[in-house]
Amino acid sequence: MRASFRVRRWLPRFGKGILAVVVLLIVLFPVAWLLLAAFKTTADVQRIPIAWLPPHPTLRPIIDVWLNPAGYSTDWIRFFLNTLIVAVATTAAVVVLGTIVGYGLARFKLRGSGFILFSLLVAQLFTGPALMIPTYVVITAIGLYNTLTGLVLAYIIFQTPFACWLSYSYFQNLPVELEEAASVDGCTPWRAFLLVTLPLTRIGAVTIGLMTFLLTWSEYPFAVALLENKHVLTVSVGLAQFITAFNIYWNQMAAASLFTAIPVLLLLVFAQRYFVKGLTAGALK
Amino acid sequence: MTKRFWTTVAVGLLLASFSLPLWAGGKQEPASGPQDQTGGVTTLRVWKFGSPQNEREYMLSQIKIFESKNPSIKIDWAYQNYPERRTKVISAKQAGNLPDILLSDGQSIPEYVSLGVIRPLDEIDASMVEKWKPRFVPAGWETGVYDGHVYAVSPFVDMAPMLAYNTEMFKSAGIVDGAGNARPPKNWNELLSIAQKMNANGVSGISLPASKAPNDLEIFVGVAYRNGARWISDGKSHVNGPGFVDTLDLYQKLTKFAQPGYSDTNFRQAMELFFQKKAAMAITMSFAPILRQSLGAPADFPYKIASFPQRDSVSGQFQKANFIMTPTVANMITSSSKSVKQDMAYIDFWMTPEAQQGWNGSVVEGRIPIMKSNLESAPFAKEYPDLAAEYRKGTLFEGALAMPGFAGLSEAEAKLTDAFQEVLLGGSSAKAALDQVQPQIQQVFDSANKSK
Amino acid sequence: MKAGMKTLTYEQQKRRLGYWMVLPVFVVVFGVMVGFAAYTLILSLQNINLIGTQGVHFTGFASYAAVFHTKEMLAAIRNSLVWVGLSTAAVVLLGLAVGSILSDAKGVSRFARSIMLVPWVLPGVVVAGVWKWMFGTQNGVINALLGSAGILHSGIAWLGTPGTVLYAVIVVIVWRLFPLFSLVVASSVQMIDVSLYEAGKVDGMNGWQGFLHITLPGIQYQLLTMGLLNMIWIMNNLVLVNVMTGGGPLYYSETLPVYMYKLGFQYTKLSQAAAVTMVNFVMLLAISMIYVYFFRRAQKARESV
Repeated sequence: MRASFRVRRWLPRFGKGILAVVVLLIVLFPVAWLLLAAFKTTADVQRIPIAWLPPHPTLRPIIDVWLNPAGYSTDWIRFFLNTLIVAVATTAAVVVLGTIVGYGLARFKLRGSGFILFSLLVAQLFTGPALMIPTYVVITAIGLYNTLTGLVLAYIIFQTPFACWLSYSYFQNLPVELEEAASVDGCTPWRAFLLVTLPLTRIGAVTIGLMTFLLTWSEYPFAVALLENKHVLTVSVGLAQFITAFNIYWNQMAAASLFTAIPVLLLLVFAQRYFVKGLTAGALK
Repeated sequence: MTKRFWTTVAVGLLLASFSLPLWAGGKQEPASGPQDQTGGVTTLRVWKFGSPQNEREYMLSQIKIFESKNPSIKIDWAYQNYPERRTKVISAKQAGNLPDILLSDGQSIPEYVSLGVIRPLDEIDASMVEKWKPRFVPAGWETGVYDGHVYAVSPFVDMAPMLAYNTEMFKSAGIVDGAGNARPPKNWNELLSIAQKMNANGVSGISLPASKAPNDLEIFVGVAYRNGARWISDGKSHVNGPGFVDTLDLYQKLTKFAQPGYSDTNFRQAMELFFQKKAAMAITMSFAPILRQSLGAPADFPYKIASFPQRDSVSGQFQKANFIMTPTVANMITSSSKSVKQDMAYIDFWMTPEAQQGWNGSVVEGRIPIMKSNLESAPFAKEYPDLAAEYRKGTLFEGALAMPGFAGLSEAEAKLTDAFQEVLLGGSSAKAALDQVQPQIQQVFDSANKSK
Repeated sequence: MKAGMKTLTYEQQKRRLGYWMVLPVFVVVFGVMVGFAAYTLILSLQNINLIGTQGVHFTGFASYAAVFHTKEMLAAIRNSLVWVGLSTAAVVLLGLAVGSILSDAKGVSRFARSIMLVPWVLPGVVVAGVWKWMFGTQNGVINALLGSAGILHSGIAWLGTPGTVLYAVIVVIVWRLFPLFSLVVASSVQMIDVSLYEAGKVDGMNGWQGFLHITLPGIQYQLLTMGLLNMIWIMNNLVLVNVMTGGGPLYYSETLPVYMYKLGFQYTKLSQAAAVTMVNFVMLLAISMIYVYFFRRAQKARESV
């Protein structure tokens, strides 16, 4: 409710609905196009001119990926669980660390906080493909190659700086008076952070959490570099294996992503609903 | 409400982060070291890059047989994407984390050798290698030999260059032999005129793989070798010799009758068009039937694969090579493997006719086997009557060379691809572009082969 | 609570807590970063090519000179600038527009915001693959759409034409990144105190003025942060360009990370790859500084109005 009711004054209410539909159409179109392939035969996927709807609807790709006991297809449940473990663990750690550091930087006039913020930014600049070899060497040296722990560790290191920055920017916008009031009530700063500030920045924390979760869920370069055995592979590496030189198994890839995406989708909707409900019940006064 | 809410969240997060190492630790594979020898069982790490699904499944089923025959050896098989090959091998080399066995392509052998990634098989066990050798046709065996040593052994090779043509379209255009069957073009001029003739009504005359993918360039190099070209001879680069220049010129002329967007069409997409009847011909390699199989085109699709036509008179200054061949599932042993005896036992298993018979055309279509028992087999004769007849005549591998490989090849290929695309996009003439790139390739070769 | 703590003033307690909150994480992240940066810098000053190097030497800026001598490097710098500039601008503008309009805490907006994130469930390689397929000349769904809408008669080779390829890839990265940007904008808008708008309404502000004078200042820090982050992600993106075009045709879509990747992993010239990494890093740093500078200036200008 508190949102941009200003815009609503000049934009008719249904305008927002139309915008939502248009944006969703554009954003979802490629995904929908991929998912349609889950019900097409291999020949129909390749057809020219293209076939919009499956001309010969089939469940073959889904059966091949999820129910075929031969080959690698039974691994998909494991890929899914691996990814879930990695994403949840990374998100938990990054949100906690990011929120604490962001708060510390935003609220306390620390000596060198400008330098710290700047360094965290520079740390972000130094991500990407350049770090592949050093990361690989370090993770292997500490014996964590081909383990989920190693991957989570790498993710935490590379994703925490952005979470610190983002949570810092959320705390910047929060009025400081509330905490000061708490201090007058005799709270320690830590209690003031836990009881007063943290609930207020819930939306920020959820946003950082969602972002971290999504970035981790779909991360490919580090996952493919640091894992090799099918017992530890994640969904993104598994999906990429449908792309081969001789064929891209679009229909199987679609079948695999269909079922791995549904839980994530539910989580997205649920997380926003749950946390936002908590917010309206709480107070921002 | 708020307090309870936050307590729940905090406890949940803490549980999640603490339970993680337990979960992940439990999943840790015992096979992380190459010399794990718990209870007398040796685990061999095998890296396999790329392959169509049915080929992978076939190999895994054979590995199960191997493991049941050799209870003291366990195979830890990791399939990885072909494009990740270099990244994985180079990072693993830097971190001392190479597997025991590498299944890669024969062309990479010289670079793997100078990277110190692989070691010669005949230095490990010469007598075993000698035992394998007579089972293969010599030309095929040679594809794993470099610098006088056997570095790799493979069940099959892929050959370039080939021309796929649609027999139905050819027949209706009257391009037939005396018996009324569709026939391939005799030479480059006829290839051009047929391409022009067939380029109508939404069908391209020829499907041209001309993207940046290394495979497309390798097919082009195959055409050039057939025209007497060589990358390097006596330490000197000849990419601007007439063998290459005329071939690139031919490609440039063919673009007029080729599919739109050829500079973004790789060999797979080129065949997709062909099997959709969107092109009358396609420049390809011997694995075209794999593409038919995995693209789901009907088994009776009206097409034939012939060797690519030649120029009227070969214009390159070297002996023409009918084909260049590359083994793409070549077994190699890495320099860091500590269980070479078991590695050799594993390769020995693959060097038996029983383990290799899936490549005679009965399981995987489109691979040219090089083991004699496969070439003589009934499925091969049924799958490839023409090739089987040529094999019986002794001409199948006549004039075929191993696909050229040398230290620095990857960079040289990238440079040649630049010249290739520049010409096809109309930026430059074949001669000018190749003249410009020749010194660069020479420099790449020189700096990569300094030690010799 | 320890007895000793009590003797500290509230301010001292705060400062101590602040250091405890910030330093452990900072030391680890900073340590790793310095280590990797030093590694890259040293590598770039050496002559390491895994194929054919005879002994490792420090060769000063020879690797830098070598890469700057290639046409490819100059093309990569030019493309990187277009790529990062256009993509970041598009992500920020689109994200800001969509995020601030669809910012209600419930109803259709919340639903749309959740669903908008669906593309993120797919890994970058798959996204790149799907878009490459969609941009296909004959079998691409984009040409088919434009064809049936009567806009096109023959297909365009989006990824095979020098003039279109870079923009096609830009479309994809914008598509990929702007939903996350909108999410952050929307959540930040929700944190703005509603009473500010009510006060504004009393003062006779219209919607646009409210957006300019209340919404924008209210989310300025998130805008700054997300703008920077997106810029970094775009500049360092390898997967999308590499899978979709490999930098081609010729060098028309080659960016610095693609060139770096080629040098390092195809040509095994680790030192030259490190040199390109350093160039990429310095450029990114410079662009970030410019961005922050203009952001601050705009901030000041708005405050003084």
